Amino acid sequence: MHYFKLYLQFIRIRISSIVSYRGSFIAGAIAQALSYGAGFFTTWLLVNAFHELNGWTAYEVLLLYGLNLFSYALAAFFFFNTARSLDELVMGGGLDAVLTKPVNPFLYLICNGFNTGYVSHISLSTLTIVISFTGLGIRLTPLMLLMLVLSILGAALIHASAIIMTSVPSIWMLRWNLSGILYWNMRQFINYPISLYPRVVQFILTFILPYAFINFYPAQLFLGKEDYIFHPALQYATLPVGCFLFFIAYRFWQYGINRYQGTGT
Amino acid sequence: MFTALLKLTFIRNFQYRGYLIINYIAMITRLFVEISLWWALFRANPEVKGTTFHDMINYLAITAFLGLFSISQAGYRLSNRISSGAISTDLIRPYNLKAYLIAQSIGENIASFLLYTLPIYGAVLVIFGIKLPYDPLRYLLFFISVLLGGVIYFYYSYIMGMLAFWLQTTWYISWAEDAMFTLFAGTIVPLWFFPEFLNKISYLLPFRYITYEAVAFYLGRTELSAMQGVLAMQLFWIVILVFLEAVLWRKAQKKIMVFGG
Repeated sequence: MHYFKLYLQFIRIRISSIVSYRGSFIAGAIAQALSYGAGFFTTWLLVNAFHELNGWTAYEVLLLYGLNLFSYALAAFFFFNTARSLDELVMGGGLDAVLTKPVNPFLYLICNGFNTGYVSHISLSTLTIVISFTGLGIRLTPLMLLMLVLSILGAALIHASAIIMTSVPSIWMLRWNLSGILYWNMRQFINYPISLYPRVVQFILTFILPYAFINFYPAQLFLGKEDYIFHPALQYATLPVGCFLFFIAYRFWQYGINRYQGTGT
Repeated sequence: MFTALLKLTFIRNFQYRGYLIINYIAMITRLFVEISLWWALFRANPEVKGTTFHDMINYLAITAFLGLFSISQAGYRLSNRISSGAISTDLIRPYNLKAYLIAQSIGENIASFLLYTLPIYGAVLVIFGIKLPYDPLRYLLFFISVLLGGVIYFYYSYIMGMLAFWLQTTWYISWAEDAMFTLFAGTIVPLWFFPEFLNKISYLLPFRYITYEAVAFYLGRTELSAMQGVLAMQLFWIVILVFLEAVLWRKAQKKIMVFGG
């Protein structure tokens, strides 16, 4: 409850700063939606020109994009700013100030760092998911709708865990940016059905950097596809995988903070 | 001075070897995803719109090579200098800011071409096979088109950078640009895969004349006789952009003087 109030206060401050830069906020939201939209549209056109991509139709591939962007936006809304500026917080001494506050530093940074730039991501990805289902003539039952919400939640936790885990090492290894490779770069693989890659890549994306749970596995549940590359049960695993990873990420964060407090005097 | 600057930028970029491995991993994974995509697409139908997998590999590689001419941070640097105010000292120094930025771009491009593009895409072409046109005239016109495309891109990005004189923030320009390039420049997907209406729009914009037309010509998709029209359009855009740049620069200088009082 205490955190909720704190959070509302932060939101109020942030919104007032948007209002004062209203022009660039709107221009930015439109430009970002255009950029993502152009990418989605291009892929849709391309898969349509070839009729299918490894057994997936253009609208089915669109669902992969929609799920990925929606869950990314949810995660990035809370974690992107904090993760990106963590090394600056350490170098500039800002982290010390956070650690002396009488609140959980993790929650404080999430509350303070939330990024309002994701309005366009959320609207565009919602639209993409709707277009995909409409294009395929799929009507979700209430149960499936619930599964969709839970899967997106799980996927957002996977994104969040990846963002946290790749940024924590920058607490002690300054200027070491792991997220560039391990998150941004590796995530490109899930733009397309991962069944089109070699077996070893499928294995990595499922068991080592489990980004395939963000869209590839859950999408099959809603599309009624059977492109199971390891086991059909993986379709339901997004939320558990997300919770598990987030737990690990949080512990890793705590480890990073303890280590920081241990050495920095 | 121009060559000295060029050399300096080149050397500096060559020195950043710490990022070398990371950049290699990043570029190779991106390329791997791209090649896997085209491989999977062409597996079901080996030829679509007169294009084979082999053509696409060459398209990707040659477009990447052309980054040597058609990538420039000049506009971005200019807009940073404007936002930070460094532009005011640039203007009183006895050098030509534009020439300085061009030299920097060329130095950077040569360094990244030698370090990354050439080895990575060279390997791709060795593995999958390079396509070479027979007609020497084709090479000549290709190179002319490439150079004109490079000039178009430089002026385009420079003008975009200049917008910082009038806008409060400019970070979103690159996002909008990204959309334009995806849809109308053929840098990610060749324009011949796109429907008619998108192609019609692309003829009204400068983007397809940066690299797309040159690569399409290299791959033999454009007849020799049709290339005159392409080169004429490229010249047309250069004239327009050079003129626009001059007009905007004059306006910007006035604006600086007003504020400088």
